[in-house]
This record gives sequence, structure tokens and C-alpha cells, in this order.
Amino acid sequence: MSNPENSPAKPVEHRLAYHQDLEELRSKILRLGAMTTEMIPQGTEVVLKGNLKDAEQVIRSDEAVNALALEIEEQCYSILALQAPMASELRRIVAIIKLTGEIERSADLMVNVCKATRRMYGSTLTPRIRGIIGSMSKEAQKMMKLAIDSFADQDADLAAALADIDDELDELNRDMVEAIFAGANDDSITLAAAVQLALIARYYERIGDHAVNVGERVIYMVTGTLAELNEDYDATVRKTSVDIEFPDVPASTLDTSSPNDTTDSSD
Amino acid sequence: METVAVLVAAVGLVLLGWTVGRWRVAGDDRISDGESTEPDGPREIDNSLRIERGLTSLPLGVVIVDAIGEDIFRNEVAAEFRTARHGEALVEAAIREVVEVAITGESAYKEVELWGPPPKSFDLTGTPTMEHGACVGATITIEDTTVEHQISRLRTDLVANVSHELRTPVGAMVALSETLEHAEDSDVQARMIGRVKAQAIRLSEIVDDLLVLSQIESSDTSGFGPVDLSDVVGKVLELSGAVAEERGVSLIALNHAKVPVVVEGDRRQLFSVVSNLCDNAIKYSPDGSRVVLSVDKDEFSAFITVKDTGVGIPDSEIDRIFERFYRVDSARSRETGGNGLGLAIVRNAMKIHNGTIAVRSVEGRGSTFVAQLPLLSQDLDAKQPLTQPSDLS
Repeated sequence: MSNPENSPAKPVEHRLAYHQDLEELRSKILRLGAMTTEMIPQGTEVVLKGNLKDAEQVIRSDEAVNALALEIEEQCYSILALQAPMASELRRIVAIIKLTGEIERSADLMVNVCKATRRMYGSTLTPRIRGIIGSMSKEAQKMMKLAIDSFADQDADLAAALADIDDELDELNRDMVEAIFAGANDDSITLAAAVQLALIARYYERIGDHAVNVGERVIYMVTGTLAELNEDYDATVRKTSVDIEFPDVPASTLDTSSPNDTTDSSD
Repeated sequence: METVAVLVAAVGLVLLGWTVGRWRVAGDDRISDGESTEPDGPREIDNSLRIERGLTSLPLGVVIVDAIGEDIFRNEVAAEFRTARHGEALVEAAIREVVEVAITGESAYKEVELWGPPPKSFDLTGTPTMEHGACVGATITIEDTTVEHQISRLRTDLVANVSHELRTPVGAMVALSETLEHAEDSDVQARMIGRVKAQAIRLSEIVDDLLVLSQIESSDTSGFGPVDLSDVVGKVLELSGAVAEERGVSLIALNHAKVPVVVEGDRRQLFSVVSNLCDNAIKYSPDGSRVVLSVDKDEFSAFITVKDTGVGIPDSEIDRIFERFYRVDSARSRETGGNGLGLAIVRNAMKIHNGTIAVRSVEGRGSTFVAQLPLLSQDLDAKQPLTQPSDLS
């Protein structure tokens, strides 16, 4: 019988595959994030230029995002079932399942932006409204990029800062409402266009919220605490049953869900 | 580009035969554990190292994979994509797609367009490596074609815009002349002649501006001398004030430096810079708004700032506004006049004066253009009489 202390530290083949799987998942999340952040300026160009041909491209990109999101989710389930990850790795898988949905939903929102553009086709946007849409797009893209960075670097501090950064988008959303009222008052926009513009602003603002939710999942992944970043962070940190010392507890016995979990599915 | 790809593929083929087991993946410490034999002598080692170094220092990305698509070599440019985030992470995904095709023995090509910002373009080419009729791997090249795409777009837009700007007045003159030929009513004739004249003036302005641009581009500095920018701004105020008033815009000029701001340059060209910036600000400002022209300086530079609260420039267009004949909004530009050459003149004039032009704009809130020029000298400034802001206004 060999003495473990004298044996060279050679990884067992199936653990190697497991770690490769985890690395592959990370790459896929980065790709999913990249596809989504690319869709934001692309969709904004559709609104600002009114080029409906580009809208089709955004819709096709979203189909690719959906397919990749499903692939990631399935891979997560497969890892959970076959590799029984524990401790931080279990948290990582659970976080990935959740944040994949957040990113995928952001891509859906850019499709919604394009569909709203179709519905107000022919309407002329005032320079002020165009400026606000451009700024919202830039902020939403920045938020999503930072959220992806916080995941890639496992940076809980950056993830926690996302809620504050999101204030800018909320402010722009309020500016848009004011600009819509101003446009309605001087008849520079129709009622139908006003409704669609309000929705478009709301979609960008929601992308910011999804980025904040990604941040929450990153905090959970890194620290094991579930945080509600849209509220006061310190006041609402919740400890979960997952954040216990392993490896004596079998993964299958762990309850990974949180009663206050807030995965958004509405627009 | 194709030549480079073929060359790289050929080099890859040779190297695969020699040193598959020794290929290093840039940014990765592991050495591929392929089973090929090591090179026999020092000469082969030297050559393979030279080729590896040559590939590593290429400005385009090179990835060489084995028969199952695993990397056996990546140069530095290509290695960056493996750890890339955001848009450029999609280039790595495209590399994998090209690899999948190329290792089946088929050539593959893929273009990746990234929205950014900044927008980028990449061309990926996958060439299979064949040995005794079987595919033993592939070489993938990744070329950053961003600049080529920009130049191509510039060329296409320029041809279309020049053609439009020149053909519109000529076409109008032809049509008006034909109408005039058959018009018997003297009122109609007078109206047609007026219109022909207006179109001829428009064409003449375009030709004049093209000549100015050409003169500036010739980099002739023989007419350079000391120019007081506060004088130039004062002159622009005098000439553009009436136009501003007609449009209901108040034009204000200020000299924050409170002393003459002297630079070395061509007075006419600098006048053209300020005048173009000022005219644009007036054109795109709403009734009742304000355009502020100001002159300032620090220890080394002079600054001319033109600030308006007009329609602003979309973010996506800012990089292009200094192109010749470029219009942010063609429909609106035709309403307001102009030929799309003003900002091209500004950019080129600043270049020949060793200056810079910067713009900050928010659509719907207005724009600020800042021209920066090197000051002539402190001594010269001290000898000039004081010019107060009130002198300009």
C-alpha cells in the first residue's frame, strides 16, 4: 500500500475533467455576457436610426443567447448530478444557474427595445430623447460589463458597488419621462410613440437591475451570503444554509434555495 | 491577407512535421505533449525557434491546432483572445468555430464585427494542415481589419456624398434652365433665373471650400505670422452676429485671458476655423438659445471654445463629423444649408497649426468644440495692449 505522503500529487482524471468543466462554464458565461453587451449598442442603433433590418439581427443574436443560456444551465445540472460539487464550487454552480437567467433576460429586453421601435416606426425623436436613449444605452452596457467583470474576477466589492452605479440609469429613466411629457406638450411626439418610448426607457433601466442581480449572485458565489443590493446592502444580508463548513455534509442534502430569492421575470 | 494566411499555413505545416512536441502556447506554461520526435541537431532547433519567434512577433493572431482541434501553438496576439472579455470574447468563440471546420480538411473563413464601443472587425481564416492526404491539424489566422473597414467605409461614403453634393446643384441648374427655355412669362423667368443663380452660388461655395481645404492640406506655412485670437473672434462676432440675430440666437464672445492671445498661424485659416464652428453652432441652435465664443490660454496653449445648447451630436457620429461631406442628419443639414466641408476645414487647419480640435456633445443638450493651439511666446503677449471681454461683444 502506498503512502499518500510519498505519492506525487497527481490529479485523478475525473476531477481534472470536473475542473475543466468549471473552467468551460466560466468561459461560456463570459461569452454569454459578451453576446448580451454587444446587443445593447446594436439594439440602440435600431432605435436611433430606425433601421428595422438591424432589428432582425438583434432578434437572431437573442436566439443564440437563449441557446447558450440553456446549454450553460444543462451543463450546471450535469455537474450537480455527476460531480456533487461542494462548498465554494457548489455556490459557483448555483450562482451561475441564477445569473445566466439574469443575463439572458437582459438580451430579451434588447429584443423588446427593437420591437418597440417597430411599433413606433416613422416617429421622429427629439434630440433630447435621442440623447437620453444614447446615455441609457451606454449606462446599461457599462453596468452589464461591470457585472461580468465582477463574476470573472470574483470581485464581491465591485459586485456590491453595482447598486450605486445603477442610480444613474434610474435618474436617466426619470429624465426620459420628463422629456416624453415635454414632447407631448409641444406635440413633437405622438401618444403612441410616447408609450413606446416610456417602455424603451424602462427596458434599459431593467437591464441595469439585472446587472445588479448578477452582482448579488457574485456576492453569494464569493462570500456565501445572499444580499439584496437594491436595498441597503448591510441591512439585508442573509446567511443561507449553503454557507456551512464542508465536506462532511453531502451536497444532495443542502437546500440551495432562498425564500426571499428575487429572480425577475417581468419587464 | 490571403498571402499571409497561406504563408503562415505553410510555416505551420513545416513546423508540425518537425517539432509538434515542442510547441508552446503563448500565455500558457504547458508544453504540448504530442508524440513527435524532437529535432535532431542544433540547426533544426535554431530554425524551429526562429520560426516560432517569427510567428510570435507577427502582428496578426496565429493559432495552430492538432487533428482534434487542441491548441499546439498560439502567438501573443491570438493568446489575448483566450482571456478576452466582453466583445472580444466573441473572437475566441469564432476561433473555435473556424477550428471545427478546418480540422475536417475544409478551409474556413469568418468575419467578426464588434459593436464596441469602439467598433472592431476581425477576419478569421482557417487552413487545414494535410499530411499524406489526411488532415493532421489546422492553422488559424486572426487579422484585425478595423482600420481597413473604416477606410473602406470612408471611401464609399465620400464618393456617395461628393457625388450627391455636386450633382444636386448641377441637376437643379439643368432642370431650371430647361424650364426657363420654355417659359414665356417674365415673372416665371425672373424666378427661374434667381433659382439658377442660387444653385450656382451653392456650387461655387463648394468649389471654394474644396480649394481652401486643398490649400490647407498642402501644408504651406509661408503665410504664417503672429495672430491675436481675440481679434479673430471679434471679427467672427461682427460677421456672424447678424445671422445669429436673424435666427433668434444670441451670440456672445468672451476673452477669459483678458490679454491678447497670440499664436503663430495663418489669419485667414484661423478665421475660417472660428467662423465654421460658430456658424454650425448658430445653425443647430434653437430660437432663443445662446452661443458662446470664448478665448482663453494657459502657460503653453491658447484655447478657442464654441459652446451651444443646440441639438447636439449623437455619440455614434462624433468620430465622423470631421470627415469631408459627412452629414450627421442629411435631411436637417439640407434645411440648414452648408456643404459638409466646414469641420473638415477646421480639422485640417488645426493640424497644420500643430493644434487639436476636441468636441464634447450630448444629443439634445448641445455641443462644445475646443480648439487648442500652441502660444507664440509669453514675451510677445506682454507687449500687446489689453483686450477686455467687452471689446469683443
